[in-house]
Amino acid sequence: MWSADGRPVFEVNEVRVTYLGRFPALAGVSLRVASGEQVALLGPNGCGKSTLLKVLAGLLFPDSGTVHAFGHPLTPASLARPAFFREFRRRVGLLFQNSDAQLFNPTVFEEIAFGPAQLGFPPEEVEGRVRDMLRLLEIEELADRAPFQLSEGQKRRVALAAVLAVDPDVLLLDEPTTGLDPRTNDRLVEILWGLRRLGKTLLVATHDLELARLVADRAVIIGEDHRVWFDGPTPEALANRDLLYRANLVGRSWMVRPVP
Amino acid sequence: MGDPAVASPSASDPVLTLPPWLGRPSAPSGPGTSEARRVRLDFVARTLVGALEVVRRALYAEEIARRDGLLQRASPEVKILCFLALILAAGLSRGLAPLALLYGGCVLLAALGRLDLRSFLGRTGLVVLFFTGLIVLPGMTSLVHPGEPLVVLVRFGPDARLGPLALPSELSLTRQGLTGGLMVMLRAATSVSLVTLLTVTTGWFELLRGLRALGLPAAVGLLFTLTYRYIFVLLTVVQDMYAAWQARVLGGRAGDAGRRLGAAAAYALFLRSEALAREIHQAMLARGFQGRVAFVQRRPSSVWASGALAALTLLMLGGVYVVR
Amino acid sequence: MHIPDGYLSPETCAVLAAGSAPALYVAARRLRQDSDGAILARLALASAFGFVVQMLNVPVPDGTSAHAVGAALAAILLGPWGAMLAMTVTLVIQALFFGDGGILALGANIFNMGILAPAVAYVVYQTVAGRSPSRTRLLMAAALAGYLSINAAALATAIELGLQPLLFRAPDGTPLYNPYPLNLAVPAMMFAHLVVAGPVEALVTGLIVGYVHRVQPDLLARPAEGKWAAGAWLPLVVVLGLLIVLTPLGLLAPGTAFGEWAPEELGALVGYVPRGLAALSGWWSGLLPGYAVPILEGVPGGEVLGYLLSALMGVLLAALVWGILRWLLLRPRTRS
Repeated sequence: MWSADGRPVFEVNEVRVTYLGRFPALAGVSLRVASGEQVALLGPNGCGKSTLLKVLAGLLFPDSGTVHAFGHPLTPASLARPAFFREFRRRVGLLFQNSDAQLFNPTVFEEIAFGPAQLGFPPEEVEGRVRDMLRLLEIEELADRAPFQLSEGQKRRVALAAVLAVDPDVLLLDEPTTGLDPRTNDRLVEILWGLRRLGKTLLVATHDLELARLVADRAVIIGEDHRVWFDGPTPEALANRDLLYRANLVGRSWMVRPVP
Repeated sequence: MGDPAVASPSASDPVLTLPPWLGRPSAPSGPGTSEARRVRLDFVARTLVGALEVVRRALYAEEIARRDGLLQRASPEVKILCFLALILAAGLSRGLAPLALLYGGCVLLAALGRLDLRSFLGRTGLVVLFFTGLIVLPGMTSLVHPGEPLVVLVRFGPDARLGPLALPSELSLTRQGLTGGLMVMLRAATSVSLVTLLTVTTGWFELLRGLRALGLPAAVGLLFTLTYRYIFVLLTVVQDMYAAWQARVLGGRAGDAGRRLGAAAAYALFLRSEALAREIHQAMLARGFQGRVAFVQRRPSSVWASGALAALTLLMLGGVYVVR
Repeated sequence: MHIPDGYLSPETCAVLAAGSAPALYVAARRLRQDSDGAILARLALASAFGFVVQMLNVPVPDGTSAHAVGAALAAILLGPWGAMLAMTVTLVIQALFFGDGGILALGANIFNMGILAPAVAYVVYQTVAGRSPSRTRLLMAAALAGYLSINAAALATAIELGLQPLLFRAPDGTPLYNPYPLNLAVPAMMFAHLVVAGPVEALVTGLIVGYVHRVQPDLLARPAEGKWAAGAWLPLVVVLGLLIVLTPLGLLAPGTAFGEWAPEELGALVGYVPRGLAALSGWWSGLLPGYAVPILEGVPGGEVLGYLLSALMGVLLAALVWGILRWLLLRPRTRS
């Protein structure tokens, strides 16, 4: 029932989301993501990428349109069922844009342990996973530190470790490289490549074209009118300067660069 | 990884930096605008100093909690129970001797917690004793309560009057007053010392774990954890706003502008709180939070240390009982 | 207004903590109804907000700066129950982590600033603001709520402190806790708060509410229906207040009220004392026999003060019993 076997991981149909009844966030977006795909959601700030990710993560529900994950409808009612909730939360991980909002545990160790513990893993397994994540993200010495002492890069690493600790099949990342130092950026890309090799599904919302180029085969461009403007191979999107400029993804200086 | 600040777990923090003008509560008055300038900088400085004090305390507590002393090794539940018992004993004592004994015990405990005794005694001892003393000083005189005079301060004479008021024949420091005042001072100092000891040798989060083990409901514990955690995030909002404001104010009516800053800061804080609350809730949901809390990690504590602390506490309580 | 340890006896603190418990219990029940952590996150941030708001200094007209307690602000922005919980959490953190207020004294501080102040602020605000107030009326309501809530808390604090030397003394007369009796504590605290701290609180509360009203008016607590409706409480409070103030008039009446004679008086009146009366008359003397507080006997005006205190205590006790009964009888039995 849960294996992808040809069925899309996510199926979004004409989804509309409005904030406070006044501000449109998504104006009729349709999308289909298959298992094992790496997709970059490109668009300028405010186009609705974050909103779309939260809709896919079952944290926001659209005003109209449907959302299906692994073939099941994603609604408040379906998520209220404990079995579905647990399975869904284990399989779909979301890395938030605001690091502070997702580091709410007293220490780094507990932060990473939170997910597995919530989902009922036995204590030894929890501990083992935490140690592995600390090593993977190279943050072992931070295990006992409190979140408010960390730098942005460190926070981002902890957050990623916390999301990966439950071994999700799908990873949704919201602006993962904004404000990151280069070395952490490199580490992030390496990890995403590793996850790709494992067959994970990745959706990265970003306006960092370089990241999209490195990590995603497919690019979905969302315009400032909160609609999908492009859905196709990444190289094709990145070569279309006109489209990128109109979508407010590049500025004038980029336009006059020689083609790489 | 290459982040140099990580190497030493010291108090130097890469995130929050100290503006260079801190420590001087009023700026040097420029020509002609002295009054206005002082008002403006005073309230900004006070706010920022206050915010920094919070952070300093948190970092200080983390540092002390990491040291290796008897108190640090004892379990938080035992610490909470022992210290609470001692504070209660100080509250219930009715004589100077038991209170002095308790305070002495505090100092001993501070030494056992590897605290710097001089700064500890200064901050929780002298400061508290001094300010409490100031407050209760008039209460020690015969003006407030008649009693056995110890030191006669002023002699008015048998029929002295001050207008319509009849004055007492003399104003003196009474024995009862002095004893009572000293008791209040000692109680205050003991309580502050014990609370400080408890929180700096335990750290806030371990403290909450101890309270939970003693029966505090999980939801309440989580509430406190989240509150404490996000105080620091909100503090940066205040620091940013106040510092930015100061850089932009060029003159004019500082009072009004300053008040508007306060209101704006409060509003910004409120918005930020609401937004953060929404996001945190979503983040918790995203990681499988279902309303129940499952705490995972416990800092290992030494049974020997806990036992030693308990024994020491009982000894002090016994002494208080004997001496009362 | 945070009372440190040492000024209040543990007994006083325990009584006040017990007094705070019912309100906190009701407020906390809403936490338990929170199945997925939404209210939890909001409350935590509200408490953090309360904590940080107390650090905001604003310049005051006389040239210095001051900051506010924020109970009224919390009540207006979060509603009464949210405000009580948020203020309580803030007070606990301040006491534990900053030594701002004692540990035993938490019972008193929570009662004064965490329960009483927000409750007073909310009632005042709703009463004065009414249904759809103009901006001026709204600001006045907010400022008044701030002023009255802080002074209510101050009065409670002063009474708690002032009662200490009355109730807790060593046999030789040494005051064991706060040495200043009611006739010193109340004027001193009230003067400082009526004249200085109250206006500051009013100013800060009005300022912030005014700002919020201009930018996002729907954040402010909406006028509530039912028992909080404007005017519902006001007449009751006014009448009770008047009655309490007038009780000392009883001292003017000569002699003893009909049927309330002490055995000796009865004996003088009719010539003998009934056996039952003689046997049982001393059995129960109550906490404040004759509505007189013992130590106030020799003090000028002590009788009057005794009457006032007795009246106040009586009203509070009656309200407490009524509140408990009401809760027991009217609480929802089943939850769908």
